[in-house]
Amino acid sequence: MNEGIAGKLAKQFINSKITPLLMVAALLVGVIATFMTPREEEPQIVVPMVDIYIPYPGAAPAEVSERVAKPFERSLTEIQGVDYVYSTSMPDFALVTVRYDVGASTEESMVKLWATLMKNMDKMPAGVQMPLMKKVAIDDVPVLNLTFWGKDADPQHLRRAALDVADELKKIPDIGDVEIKGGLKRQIRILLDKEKLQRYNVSAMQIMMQIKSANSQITSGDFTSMNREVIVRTGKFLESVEDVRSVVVGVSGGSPVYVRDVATVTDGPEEIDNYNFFTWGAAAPAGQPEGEYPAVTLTVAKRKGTDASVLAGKVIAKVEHLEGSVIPENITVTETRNYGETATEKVFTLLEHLSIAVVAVTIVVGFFLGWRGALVNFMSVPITFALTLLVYFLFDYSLNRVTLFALIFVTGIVVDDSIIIAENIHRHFSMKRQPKLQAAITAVSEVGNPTILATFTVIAAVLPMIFVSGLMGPYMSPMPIGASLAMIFSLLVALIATPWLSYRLLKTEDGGHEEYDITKTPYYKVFNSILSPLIDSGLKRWMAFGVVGMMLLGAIALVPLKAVQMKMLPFDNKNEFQVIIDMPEGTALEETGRVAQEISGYLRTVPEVESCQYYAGTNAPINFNGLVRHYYLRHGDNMADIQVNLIDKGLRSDQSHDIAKRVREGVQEIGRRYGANAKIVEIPPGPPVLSTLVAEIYGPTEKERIELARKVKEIFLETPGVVDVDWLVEDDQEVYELVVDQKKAAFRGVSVEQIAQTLRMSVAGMDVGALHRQPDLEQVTINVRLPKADRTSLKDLSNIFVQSQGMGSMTSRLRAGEMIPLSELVRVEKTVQDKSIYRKDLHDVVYVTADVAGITESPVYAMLEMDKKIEALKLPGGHSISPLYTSLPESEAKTAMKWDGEWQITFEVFRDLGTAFAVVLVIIYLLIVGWFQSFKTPLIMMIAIPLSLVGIIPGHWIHGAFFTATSMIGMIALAGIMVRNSVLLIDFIQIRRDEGEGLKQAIIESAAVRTRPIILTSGAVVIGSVVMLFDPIFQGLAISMIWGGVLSTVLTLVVVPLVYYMAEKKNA
Amino acid sequence: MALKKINMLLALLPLLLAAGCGADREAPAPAAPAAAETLDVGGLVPVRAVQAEEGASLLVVPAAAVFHEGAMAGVLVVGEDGRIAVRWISTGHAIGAGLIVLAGLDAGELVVGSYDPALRNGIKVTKSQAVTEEVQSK
Repeated sequence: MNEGIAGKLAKQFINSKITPLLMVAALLVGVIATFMTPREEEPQIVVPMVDIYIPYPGAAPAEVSERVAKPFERSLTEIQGVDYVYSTSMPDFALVTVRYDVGASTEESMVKLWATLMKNMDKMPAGVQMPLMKKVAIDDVPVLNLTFWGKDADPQHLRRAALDVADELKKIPDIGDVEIKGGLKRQIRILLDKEKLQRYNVSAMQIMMQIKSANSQITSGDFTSMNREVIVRTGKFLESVEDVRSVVVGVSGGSPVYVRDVATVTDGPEEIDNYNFFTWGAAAPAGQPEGEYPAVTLTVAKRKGTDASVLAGKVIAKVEHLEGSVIPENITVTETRNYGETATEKVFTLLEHLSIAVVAVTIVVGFFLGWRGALVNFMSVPITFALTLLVYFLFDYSLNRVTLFALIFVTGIVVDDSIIIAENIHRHFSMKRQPKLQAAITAVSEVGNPTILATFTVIAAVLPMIFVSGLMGPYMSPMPIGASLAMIFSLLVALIATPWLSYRLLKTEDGGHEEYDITKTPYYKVFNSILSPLIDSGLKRWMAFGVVGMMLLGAIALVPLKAVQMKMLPFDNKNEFQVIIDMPEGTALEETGRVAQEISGYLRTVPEVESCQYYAGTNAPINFNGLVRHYYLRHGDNMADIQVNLIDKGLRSDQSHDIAKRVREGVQEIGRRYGANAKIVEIPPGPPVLSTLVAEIYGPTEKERIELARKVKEIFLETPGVVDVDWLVEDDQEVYELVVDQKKAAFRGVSVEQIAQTLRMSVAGMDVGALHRQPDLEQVTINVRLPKADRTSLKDLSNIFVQSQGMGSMTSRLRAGEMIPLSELVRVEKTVQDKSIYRKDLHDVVYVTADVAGITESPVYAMLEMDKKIEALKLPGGHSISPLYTSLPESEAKTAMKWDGEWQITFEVFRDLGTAFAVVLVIIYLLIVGWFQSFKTPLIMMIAIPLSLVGIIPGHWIHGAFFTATSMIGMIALAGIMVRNSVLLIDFIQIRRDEGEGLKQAIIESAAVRTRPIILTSGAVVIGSVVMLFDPIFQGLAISMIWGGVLSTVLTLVVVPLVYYMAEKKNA
Repeated sequence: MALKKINMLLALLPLLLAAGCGADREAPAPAAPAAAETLDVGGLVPVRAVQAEEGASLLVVPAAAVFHEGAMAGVLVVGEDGRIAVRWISTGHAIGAGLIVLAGLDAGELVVGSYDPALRNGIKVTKSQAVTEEVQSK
């Protein structure tokens, strides 16, 4: 018999001393790699996304959009690789977000973008300030949050303690960004007294200028005398609150006027701009105090490519060390996020699943081949994985849920090669036709080539998944790569290690000495009784085909019947979620804080909640979701975030998604009472999007867009299962416009700029410098402002005084220094704040967003349901719209709508996976044509692929699961496995026929001989997948592999031989 | 053939069912708020709305009701459930013995007239008849 590559390899290594050494070496490097590879929760995704802020002070959104955003957007189209361009034009600035094609190099993208930006700066209108460019990366998401809270601790002290800790933490290597959320900074506040200013004839501007000039110190030079140089320094920096108080700001009645004469100067916290509180929930550890406490959160991000758990461990150890010294006794530090821990947990759970899968597979193998055969396989799997982990390490992959999942996914598949080889050696040993060594080599040669072919079919099946584009691409790519690598290693192990192990471990059974006779095996008897009548009778054969065909149709029918629903990815079971609260624009901070307080008060009664932190006026530490949704820009009096931490998933029975669903109504009930929009935001299992459901409304004018958006929003609201409905249109916020009377101002010797500056200083406050030589880590600024109590109404604003510049103004001949009340120079106009303008890919757009939960969990079905209602809408002008799914509207002359959000990614993924599947089929076909040199045989083998649907779809139905992207991956991988089974089957038929056996006999014999390895390998796939059933995300894949594997295997063993018989009948 | 298939399916079915099912479970009801002591507090005062000039109105609470924690100002309010809660407010000028509230309270809400550090979140308060009537008459 021709030995082939497989036989030659086996012959080389079966008695070589190097084989065991190689095995041990592979295992060792694998173990080392496992510990050296960084562990993290989320896969490393490079989403080259860049935010560009272009400030244009004073401009209204329409002007910002027209003059800044639009020209810049247009210039961006010049850059290659730009995927999407989003812009938001708000009063005073534009925010442009550029998303590159996934996988593009971040640095290169940044450089190109910067070059384009700079090239166009000369076209920007006067008044545009220097743009700010920020890269958004997954590593910006903090991996560790430490909340500082205490009963008697006020926000200023909390912030200082956190800052001191942050300073210490920065010394740890590999630490990324450390940020402080909340708290109040130390500030020297100069609170102006309007009456005294008027009495002493001092203006706010004067104070600003005097303090600026007093707060200076320069080195004037040096002089030489007596061979020595002496340095001369002039001036003195302001170093204390007393220094600030004693600055002379004017002269009145012959005596100096000090700052303290016209203002109250305090050294303490800045004016409140956030309320952050920490509270324990119902599931808090025993002995924790009730109630809520002022809090400040320190967030720690990690550097790219470092291990989250190691970093978190170091930080926590350091913080413990600092307790009592840098952290005062009355401040408690609580971990409110630790992705290091969750990552380690996830990794170890997956490794545990991996070992369970390996053991389970071993047991199955042991069932058929005895414990010795099982041992052979049991030893080959770890070697395969060890090598794969080594490659992960070398390729700079991290151990995360996707890379590890790739390993679990292939557990069932990688044992197959070893099983086939070991099984055949076992069979040959028991046939006892040859001496042991010779039998082993013959056995390897016999199945070696089909095994190699089969391995490449499976690789051909999974590898095209690498071409999934969009955000989902990097999520999935470790899977085809990891799985393909594991397959190649498993093949090598099967050809090198397995024969060595089998030769030593497998025993030739001492039993009867009669000649091996296939017709006496039980497998033969079974197949003879099943296949013979079907081969002999055409009618029965067609009936069998009919039954299988009906089963297939029935299974497929479950999809349009909605018994099995499609969804991108189901929710994972996390330990946290967030509540995002948006109050109507113009809500005061205290009112927002009150709503946040009440909602967190409700949430902490939920039995699974361990702790809550609410952040009113500022954003909570962002998670993966917030990164894409720009939650880090949420600052404002009308916004609040609540971070809800749940107890560990092992300690509760409900999944986080169920808890989120349960509390949604309670949270929104409170929100509605105050006119707030409160959304429950969970961490998405896949790539984050703006919202699960997004309707993009396009149209010629803003009015028409908002009109249609309003109608669409109403449809959203009345559709059951659609929750958290919102839109990105601000509520009307009242604006007082102070219009300066130019003529009067000129006569009185006051410039418009002076008025604007004075008003800004009085109302918003203005930093006029900083205290020097302070031990504080943060700069202590000197801020001039009116006290809050003195700026509550228009009346308060109108009795602010400005000082006439007299002749200096060039317009007036009056005496300089006269104090003129603003009320004489301005008149008030009440208007409404202009709304922000959103643009996407150069189209003006209005977004309506929502989530799905409850009745429909899959956005696609909600979309289809709402489509009917949206199409029935009556629009001005009499035209109706039909929502678009995949492309932007061709013209903006009419209003139009496009679905986006999760749908967009779902569409891309299923499209790409579908294409991948088609490519897979072609490659498999080519591979088999090359092997069998027949155009017809491959088609017969590929019949097994659609048969897997008979199991897959009803499987999802039985489990009540969604058909997800992972299900699709399972289906594709299964195609490879099923074809391999057919290959093994038909290969043996041909060997037997070449040996001169009749067609029918060859078919039945082949079925009998190959049943054991086929059932063994499929069984290994099925059993290896069972552990995945418990993972919410990978459940779909498990169902595909299990149900598809079982049914397809059974049907393959019957249908493929029959079809082969029919095809070859004439040649027999 | 059919028999063999059914047998295989039957063997696998229990395994699969046990593995994948049992996701829907009754949601546990939220726990009741922490057990509360009931306390008689003298002097619950409703937040007054005072007419200011130009038709605008101002909210006023007694100055004694306001306490400070660092830069934050708060009052103790009694919610509809009769429980005390801390409410953070933003204050303006004093008007007589009262303090103008810029944000954080609604007119008619009951606040503890003079701040008592012994009172804390969650304590239940019995409202006296007089106060209740005053609120209703508003």
